[in-house]
Amino acid sequence: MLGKVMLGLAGTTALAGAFLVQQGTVRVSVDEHRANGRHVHLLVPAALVPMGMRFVPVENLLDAATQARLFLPTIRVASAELARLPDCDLVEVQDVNKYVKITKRGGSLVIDVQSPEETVHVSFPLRLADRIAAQLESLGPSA
Amino acid sequence: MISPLEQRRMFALVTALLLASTAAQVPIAAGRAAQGTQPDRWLHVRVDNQEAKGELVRINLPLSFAEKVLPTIKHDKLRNGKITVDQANGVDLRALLEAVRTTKDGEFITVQGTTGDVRVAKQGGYLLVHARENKDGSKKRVEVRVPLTVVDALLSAGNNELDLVAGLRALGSQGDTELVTVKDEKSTVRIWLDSRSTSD
Repeated sequence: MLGKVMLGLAGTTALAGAFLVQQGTVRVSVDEHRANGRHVHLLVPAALVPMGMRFVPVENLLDAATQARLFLPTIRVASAELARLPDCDLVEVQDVNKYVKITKRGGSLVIDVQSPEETVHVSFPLRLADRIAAQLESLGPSA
Repeated sequence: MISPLEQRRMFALVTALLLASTAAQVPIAAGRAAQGTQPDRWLHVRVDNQEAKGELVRINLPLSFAEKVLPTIKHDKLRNGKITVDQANGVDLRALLEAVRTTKDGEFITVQGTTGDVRVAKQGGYLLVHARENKDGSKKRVEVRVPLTVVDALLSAGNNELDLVAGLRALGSQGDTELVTVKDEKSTVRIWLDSRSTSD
């Protein structure tokens, strides 16, 4: 009996794991280069983000949808277009102090910023951007 | 000895695991397939500054991306991929482009001075601008090449508008083209079009 339960658990875990891997991850890292600076490192499975949005108060989501209304169609089209591109470096800017790089890697948009003050890394699956924009679009009035 | 019921359950589990692992591979395979094809024309911008500490700008953008995204932007004079042009400083840009389009090949402007030269011409299907500055030891050189098919496409919108999306589409049908080059002792700016996703 215990063996069957373990078998069932293992199967479910494997399926859930495969689903999470397929959906990708959201990674946010912020390292401030000063004494007692903040170090924030987040690694969240992308599949959990739309689910997490269900727990955000509706008025907050409505506010976000209203503010982002004009940009939502652009985000949706841009993420769909970027998703079908091969991996590439889109933008790279270097000046005396700062370095910014935006790349597309394996279905995700990767943004790196390095400055004397901080190092920031953000990456998220493009499909997630589309899903969130669609979710917000469905809440607010159309543009 | 495993019972037939357990055998079926094992089979179901193994099948589920195989399906799950296949599902996890799908985006990877799709990504590889996408990498194998180069369907786009890419617009590249490259700025190199030799004077400052390694200042650089690299922008690589597929024209199809700009073509799809532009119509979604509604800001100020930009709507549906078209930009409204008013007379700026007394110059009617649309009328100017229309005049260039309908004029025969030749030189429109040639200025040769002690501090520099400027030449604007229409030649071989291109609008060409060459400018050279020889002032205070500076050897700045600007070269602009605009395909006239792009000018045609820009003018295909209404009276007070330029159709940017049509312009991009026309640009995409061009071969590898050097559009803008600016060079001086300190920096180099290049804007060009090719079918590669990198600017190296």
